[in-house]
This record gives sequence, structure tokens and C-alpha cells, in this order.
Amino acid sequence: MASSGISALDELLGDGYPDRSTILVASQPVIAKEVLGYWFTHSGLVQGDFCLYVTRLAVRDVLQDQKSFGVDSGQKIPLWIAGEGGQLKYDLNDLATLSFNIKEAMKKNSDRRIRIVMDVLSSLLMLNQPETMYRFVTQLFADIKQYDAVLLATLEDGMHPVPVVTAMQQLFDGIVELKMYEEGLRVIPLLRIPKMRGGRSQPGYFNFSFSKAGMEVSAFVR
Amino acid sequence: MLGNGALQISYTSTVDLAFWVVPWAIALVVFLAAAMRALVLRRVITVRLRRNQALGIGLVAIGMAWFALNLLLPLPSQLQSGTSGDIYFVFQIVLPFLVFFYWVDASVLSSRRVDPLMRDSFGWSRVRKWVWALIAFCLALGIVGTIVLGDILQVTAFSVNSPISGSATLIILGAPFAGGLILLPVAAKRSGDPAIRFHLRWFAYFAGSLGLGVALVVLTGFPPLWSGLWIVSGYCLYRSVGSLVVVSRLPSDLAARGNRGP
Repeated sequence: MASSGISALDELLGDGYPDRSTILVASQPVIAKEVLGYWFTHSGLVQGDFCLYVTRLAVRDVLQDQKSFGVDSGQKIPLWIAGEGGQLKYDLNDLATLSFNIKEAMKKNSDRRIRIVMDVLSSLLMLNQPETMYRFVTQLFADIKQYDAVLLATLEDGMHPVPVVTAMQQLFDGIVELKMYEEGLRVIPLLRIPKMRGGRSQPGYFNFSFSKAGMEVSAFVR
Repeated sequence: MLGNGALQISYTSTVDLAFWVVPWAIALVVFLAAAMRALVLRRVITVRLRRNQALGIGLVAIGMAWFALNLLLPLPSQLQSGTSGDIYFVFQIVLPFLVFFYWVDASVLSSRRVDPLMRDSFGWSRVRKWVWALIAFCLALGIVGTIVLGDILQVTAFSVNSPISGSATLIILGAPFAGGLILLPVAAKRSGDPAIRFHLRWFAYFAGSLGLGVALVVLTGFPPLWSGLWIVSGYCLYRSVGSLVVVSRLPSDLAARGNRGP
């Protein structure tokens, strides 16, 4: 199992994300789902895993955001495929190069565990045909399964047609869903894990909140 | 009901009560509800830019509620002149405009984050620092004008009659309008998040109904039309706030029993 870097989440998952798995974190844009990616990368860097972070943002923006959530990996840095400031440039119009770069990074680091975080899925889905994306993701996942790798991708809920989201969800081994629910005048953020192939799913709902120490999770009791 | 150029109101009849007091009171309640909703949503939003946006719209709603309260219970006219008048002007007009600009700024930045192409509309991420600096300078100029020049040169700060403070006032009040009119339509179009587009669309309805109200008063000279449209604009602002976050209903069985976990 690959630790999520968040002890409360590890407890729910039964010690972390399953080996050789692909995880989708879906929530609407107002929830900072990237935090799961930050802690996942942080945990990997601490354990000496090879970490690859794919983002359309500038590296400095991601680092600034990480710090605001209490994540600081010190001198340890992942390989960045980023819009700006990364070792490799992220070009949203070039899926082939992105796929090639990820594959090459995995090949070079095949002797250790690999962790990949992708927060570009939504923008790619908006700019490419669903069929193209379906093929890209299927091919990428096939490559990932050949290595000791775990991939975590984020998806903006509400920005894509439902059939596209459903198709994407089917491709992933695990889904972590973060949503806002209304109860009277209160708005409650709730988490659930409807699917976790090879691990423990949690179809029930849990309260969650982000803190400097990671994420706090507790069973939702009315 | 309105007189002497200022908003002086006297409630003399049941007609006044029905066409003036009641609509304003309803508008006040609606704006307060919008402000409360915005602050509740801000607490659960975890993305900084979106949280700033919720704070901005909440403060706009508070500003509108404050404005409605002032129309309902206006200050005595002697307090609306001289230094106290300047302070009143700052709280009544300048602060709401600054808050409005804060929201415009936050909205443009959040829209960029959800634009798949990350387009920087009109180079706003760089230009905004200069605009904020200019507004801060104008604000300082206006305040210094109140404290120093007002006494020495008998110049009323933020007065449009004075070339210096008049220009400062024009910039403070004009920047939010110009910024909003130019940037927000582009931001809405480029945003990939429908929630932001709904938020901005309802805000446009809010601003439109406010503007229509003022235009109707000027054209017809019948203030109740204005107060009526304020209720409409309050509703639009409430919807704009609500659009910020898509909130799902709890599944009924879960709402009843809760979830005790694994």
C-alpha cells in the first residue's frame, strides 16, 4: 500500500492507496482537492519514492499553495511537468509528449516506487475530444501498471458532461469524492470513497476538513 | 419624501409606509441574508481565491444592507456635512466601492484558475497591483484632504468640486465600475466552471436592476419604483451568492440516520 500522507485517510483506506493503482479525486472547484496530491507527494518524497507532479500551473504557485496547507517537503523535490518553472514543460496541446515524458520518467526510475500526481485531467478533458482522452488515459494506465506506480489525478466536478465523468470514473481503480451538502442552514463538506479496487471502499459519508497537519476525517453523524 | 438633494425621508402616511419603509426593510433583510449565506459558504470553501470571492460578495451584500439601512433611517442632515459628512461619505460610498473592487479582483483571479487555458485577461495578474496602488494613493489623498487640506484650504475631501480630491474620488469610484465592466464579461466567458458563470450572471442582474431603479426614479420621479427594484436586486444578489458553490442535497436516508463509519 502507498500511504496517502494523511493518517486519517490511510485509516479509512486501510493503510493507503493499493499498489499499482490509479486514484481519481473528484470535487467541485471550490474544494482544494490538490491537498491530497500534495500530501501524497510529500509522503513519497519522505519515503524515498520517485515523485512526478504534472500541473498546468507554475511551480512557484503550487509550492505557495502547498505551504498554505502546511506541506513543506524541504529540499526534496519531485520531477515537475509544469506550465512554468518545471524541469519539463507541460503543453496542453501535446498529449503525445506528455505521455512520452511520463513513460520515460517511469522507465528511468523503475527500480523504486513511483508516485504520480496529475492535476491536468480537467483542462485536458475540456480541450480534447472525450474519445481522444479515453485513449490517452487507457494507454497511460496500461503503462503505469507495468511499474510499481500509483497515480492520483484530480477532476473538477460540474465542469464536464456526466457521461464523460462516468467514463473517466470507470477507468480508475479508486475514487475519492469530496462534496458540499446542505443541511438546514449549514453547508457540510463530506467525503466518501465509492470505489477502491484492491483496497477498502467507504460508501458511507465522512466529515472532512483541511488543516496544517493534513486532513481531519470523522464519521458523519447527524 | 425626498428633498433637498439629499435623501431626507419623513414617514407621514400609510402610503409612505407601504411604498417606502416596507420595501426598504424587505430589501435590508434580503441583503443581510445574502451576506450571511456568503460568509457561511466562505467557511467551507478551501480554495483561497474562491474564499476571497465569497468574502468579497459577502461584503458587497453587507455594503448594500448598510446603504438600505441608511435610506431607511438616514442620518440627520447636519451630520451629513463638514468633517462628519466626509466620514459618512467614506463609509457610505467609498468603502462599498472598495469592497466591490475587491470582489471584481477576486472574481477575475478565480476565473483564471478554472480557465483550461489559464488566460490572463488584459494581463490582470500584473496590472492589478498597479491599480490597487493607485486606489490606495487616491484614498490616502482623500483622507489627507479631509484632515489637512479641508481645514487649511477649506476644501472638502472627496469633493468633486476640488480638482485634486475630485480626481481621487473619480478614480476610487470609477475603477471598480470600469474594471467590472471590462473584466468580468471576459472572465465569465473564459471560466470553465459553470458556477462562476452563474455567479457573475446573477451579479449582472443585480447590478442591472439597481441601475434600472435609479433610472426609473430619475425618469419618473416616483421613488417607490426604486425601493421595489431593490428587493429584486437583493434577490439577484442572493442568487449570485448561492451560485458560488453547488450544494447537493443529503440523500434522505443518510440525512435521517447519519453514517457511523466502518
